[in-house]
Amino acid sequence: MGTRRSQVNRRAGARKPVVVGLDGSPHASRVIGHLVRLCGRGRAVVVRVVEPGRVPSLPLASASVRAAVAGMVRTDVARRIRTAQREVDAGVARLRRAGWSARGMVCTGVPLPELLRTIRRAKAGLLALGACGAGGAKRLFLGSVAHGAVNRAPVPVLIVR
Amino acid sequence: MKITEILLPTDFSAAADAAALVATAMALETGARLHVVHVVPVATDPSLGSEQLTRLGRQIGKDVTVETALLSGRAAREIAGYARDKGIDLIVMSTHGRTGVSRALLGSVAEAVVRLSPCLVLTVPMTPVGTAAQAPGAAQVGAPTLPHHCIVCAGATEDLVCESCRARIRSGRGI
Repeated sequence: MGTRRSQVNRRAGARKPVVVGLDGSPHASRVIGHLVRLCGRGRAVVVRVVEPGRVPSLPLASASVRAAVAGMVRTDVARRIRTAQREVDAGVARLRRAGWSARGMVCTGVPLPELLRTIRRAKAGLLALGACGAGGAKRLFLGSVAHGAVNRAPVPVLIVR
Repeated sequence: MKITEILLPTDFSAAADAAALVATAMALETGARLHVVHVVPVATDPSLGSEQLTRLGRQIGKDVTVETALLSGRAAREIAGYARDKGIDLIVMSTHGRTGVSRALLGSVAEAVVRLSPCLVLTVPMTPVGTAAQAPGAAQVGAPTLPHHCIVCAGATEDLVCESCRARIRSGRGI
């Protein structure tokens, strides 16, 4: 048994990276803590996908109103990207403090396809995600990203509640 | 939170074997006790499942502390209930990766467990040989699966529906 344990520990050095998906929820912020406790040390790519803002169609509004609305949408997306960057930086710093080799990434797009693309690019061995729903009735619901990841990810998925 | 209790629900399929490898590796690494559980539907003879469960428990038990349990009822609900009762810290289970019609017909136990579970869940996908996934603590986790599966029973077949399921559908006994 001692030999087996040392073999497992040796293998741990050659682990594939872990993709950590953040979404700003309290579940997601717990993911890193659980990951550190569960896996000890390793490599990680911390990802936050920001959904792109869409300018509503305003065919009857004047050009100046349309420009103002488009400006508001751009400002909102920029604000969300800044918040996402702060969250990713905090996650990366926390992992580095725990001895991990980590890098962060903020991208815009649809979350699940972006996460699956990141897994492929990073040749990751694990995807760690938070499940949506804090308790009570919400407990029955699983976030659409977590739900899609369980069914479509080509690697093991760690869902944190 | 230290991982001291790991739950491995199994249906004895190839995909479940991949999850068993991951769960054993994690139990070895964390020193946790491994609970191996099989759920049989109500009004089903549990003797076959019981034998397989004992065999699997003995096999895994060479490396880690194992506790086996045979439950009866609806799979996801029983697994989540067991996890709650025994204070499980992590559930490691396989996903068959069904989509479309087969998923609509058969559902996904893993998905339901993730919904109901009170603790962390690690789902291990059924991966083709050669593109094996690597999990924490496990060097190479590859489910020894065949390239094609029956959309009804997920058994190995070169066709969309295997011979036995096709015969059952033709005879009017349903799926």
